[in-house]
Amino acid sequence: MKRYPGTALCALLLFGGGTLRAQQKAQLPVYQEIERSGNLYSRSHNPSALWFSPVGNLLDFHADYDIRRGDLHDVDESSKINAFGVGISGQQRFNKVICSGSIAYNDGKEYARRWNSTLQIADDNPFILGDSIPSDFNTQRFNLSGTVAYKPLERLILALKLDYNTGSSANQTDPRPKTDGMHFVITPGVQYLMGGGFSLGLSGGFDLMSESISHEVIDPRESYVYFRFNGLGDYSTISTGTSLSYPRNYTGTEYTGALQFAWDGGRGFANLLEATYASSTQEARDGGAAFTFLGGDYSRTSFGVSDRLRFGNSRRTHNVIVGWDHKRVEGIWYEQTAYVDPDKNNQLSYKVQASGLKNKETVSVFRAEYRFDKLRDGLPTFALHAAGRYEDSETTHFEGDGYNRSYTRIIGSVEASKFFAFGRNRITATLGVRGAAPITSSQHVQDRIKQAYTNPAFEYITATWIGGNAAVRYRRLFGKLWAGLYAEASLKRYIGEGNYTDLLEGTDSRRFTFGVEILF
Amino acid sequence: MKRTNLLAKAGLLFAASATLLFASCDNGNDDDGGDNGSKKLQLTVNLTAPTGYEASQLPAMTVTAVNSDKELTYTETTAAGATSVTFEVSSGQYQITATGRYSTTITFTGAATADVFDNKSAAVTLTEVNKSPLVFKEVYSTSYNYKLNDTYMEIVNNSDEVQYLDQVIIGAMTVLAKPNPWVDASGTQLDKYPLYGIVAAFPGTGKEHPLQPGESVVVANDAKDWSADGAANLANADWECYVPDAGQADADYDAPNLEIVYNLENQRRLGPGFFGGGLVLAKLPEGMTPSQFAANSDNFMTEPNKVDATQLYFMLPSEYLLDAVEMYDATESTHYHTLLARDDAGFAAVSGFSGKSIRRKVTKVEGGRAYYQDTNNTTNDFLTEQPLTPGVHPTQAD
Repeated sequence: MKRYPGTALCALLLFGGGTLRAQQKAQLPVYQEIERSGNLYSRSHNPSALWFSPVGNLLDFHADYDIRRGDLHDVDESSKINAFGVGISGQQRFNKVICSGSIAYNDGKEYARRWNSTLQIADDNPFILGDSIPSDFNTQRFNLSGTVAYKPLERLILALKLDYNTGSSANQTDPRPKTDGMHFVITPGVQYLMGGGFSLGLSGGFDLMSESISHEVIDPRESYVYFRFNGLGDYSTISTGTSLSYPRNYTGTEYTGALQFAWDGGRGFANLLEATYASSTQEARDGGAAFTFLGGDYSRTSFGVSDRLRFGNSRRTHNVIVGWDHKRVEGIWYEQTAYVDPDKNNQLSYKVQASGLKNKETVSVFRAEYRFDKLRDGLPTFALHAAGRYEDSETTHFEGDGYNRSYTRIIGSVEASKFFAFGRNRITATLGVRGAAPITSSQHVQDRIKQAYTNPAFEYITATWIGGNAAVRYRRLFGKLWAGLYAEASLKRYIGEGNYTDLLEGTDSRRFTFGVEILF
Repeated sequence: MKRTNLLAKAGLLFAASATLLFASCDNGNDDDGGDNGSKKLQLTVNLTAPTGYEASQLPAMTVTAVNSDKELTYTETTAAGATSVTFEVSSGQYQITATGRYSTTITFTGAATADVFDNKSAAVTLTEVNKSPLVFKEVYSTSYNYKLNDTYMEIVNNSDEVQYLDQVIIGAMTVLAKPNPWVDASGTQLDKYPLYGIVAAFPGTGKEHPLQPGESVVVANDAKDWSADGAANLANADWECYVPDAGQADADYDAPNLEIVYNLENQRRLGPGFFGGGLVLAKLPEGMTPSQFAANSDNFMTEPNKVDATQLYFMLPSEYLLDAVEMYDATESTHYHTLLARDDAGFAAVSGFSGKSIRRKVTKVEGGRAYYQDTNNTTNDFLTEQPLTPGVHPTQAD
């Protein structure tokens, strides 16, 4: 039970459900849309958002198969991915308590992937361990989540959310990395209802992560190289000749704090202002029991402010969200020299000669969203969602004459959904368009693996692409439950000019998802 | 009015909290310093003339500093008589080599390592290198397609006088995956080399196996035709290393056999590993045969400071070397030197099972004879990733 802290909550949800009321049945096929448009706090960091959920008791089971193809992807991602996922989630309201929980399992295969053997470290952590041999990765992920919100007093809401995410990946091509990762996140929150429609919230978060990588080499007649990246395509290598299994462990924590200030005018107008701050660290340590090599210390400080305005009436709901996020990522690298330690039986050891800031990245994001929901009897009949974001990133790499990378880019999307009802049947049809383009971009990086790694990575980040997506969901009511089928397809096509490499010219990315679901 | 006050209070409360929350967001530690990431250090290399020479007699010296981990190479050529040169380098470990030609037969060479994590001076003591009469012309140690026994080496008489192969020793050292542990109590590298595996010698009592100037001999591990396997035809090799009691079965082909002087770990093949190592050619002092040397237990030792060490290595003194070559795995970024700088100051990269050899450079071809470069620096003297050419000499200079 200690290992799976959300189990009790979820068991409660899965097996302790009450009798559904008729109006709740009608909500079920569109409960996600209702939550997104109707819960002012649906995107808030504060888990007390659960208390304000307009969705009634429910249980959602789904299973899907995901197919991704195409060469328009990051350099350390795969052109061919197949994955099977299954999940169950639910929500149950009692007198002064509301609970929600979910369990999800995903089993996928990524073909011919290379350059990155990590699994769940931060996306912007520059201290990546990988090899250059294309390999087929089998990856399993298991996510467990539980939230409980409690209203002990008329003006006070207490909430707690627990997340446990674990994953494992491996491939069967020398050198064979085996990676196991874990995140355990605890998020407490409190909300004080001040009266007059005002409320003040405070939430915190603590994320404890760990990840371990080790390798196995079946055929020792070949020599392989492990790349210990430290940012902007810079790296230090070590071969299987020196360390066959080359183990690495990551450990890290993230502390998050958030303040919410909300006002609900009661006439369709409501506003939520939220400020968040997070501080994250992850340390890479290599060698296991054999030796200790410091693989780099990552830290990230981020903060952001967002405001969500909701207005409308019983027939129309509008949501406008604007936000600004900023982060600063720093990577500390240790210059180390090898020596044989006579006190440890001539064992290979490393001595730290110097350390300092090696990689620094600052990113600012301005984002804006608009969502419109047309309602009938409290249920959506049409939804429109438009979103745009502007990113400004600068990276400096402290090595030699100095290296840097900077870009600004915009990303936008518009998506419309129409909801049809025919007796016991419900159909949701969605169409969308998306695109991204750089405004400015430049980079000065080392020549080492520039053609194979650094340039393709930057070309993808700054790629100009357009795309679209379509989805159809069909549900039918059988007695007390809804059963459904869904299919989703999306396409991204590169239309850039190949500023840094022509590898992406003519490429696209296609994704197809087919699934079944049961709601009750 | 009451509602307005409440709004104002709540707003102030939120603003105050947000201010506190972000107070520590910027640590003010802007390490960029406006220099766009530059971190350069000064490495000054001071050259000391060989014993018996004045600094003013130094020729133009080519000084190279290599940081193999970061794949950085800095090269400067000094003016004649200059004794120092300064590089602006990134931090890290550097292998420094200096080479200059004093005359047509004498080369000055030296090497040093430097850990550069601040401005640093490194001293390179140059030694006088007279051209060795017998040198390795070609070394094929990588094998092809895991055939293992298709390897060979070729030895050439690079002098203008007849040389005799009798009792000339061939031995090898394993490639190091960590800093050289063969050091004394003060950490200084021993002036003798631990030979691993087979130590072999040409038979003869002194003048039974002459080698004419410019001529060479091919020593095969298995003297048979490997051309059908993608390697070389060694059926006409001059010599073979046949190990009758090896750990793996060996066949005795037509070529005459070397004498096995010692065989640590009962190996099957003479030479360095497929992924590199050291290879030495040596001749003991007059009056001492290889077998007499091997009979003296003082000439063997285990790895220093290793408590569970049981392997007895054949320790060959540096002073007896005729030639030495060092190779490293091309996939390995960090290289640990096994040879003293005075014996060889460089490395040649090899790729295991690539079917490629390293071949000594030819400086000139006169009268159909190739003259090979010998500066005691494998990096400078050898071409890597070469096709197999046993017994074949280039017809033009490289």
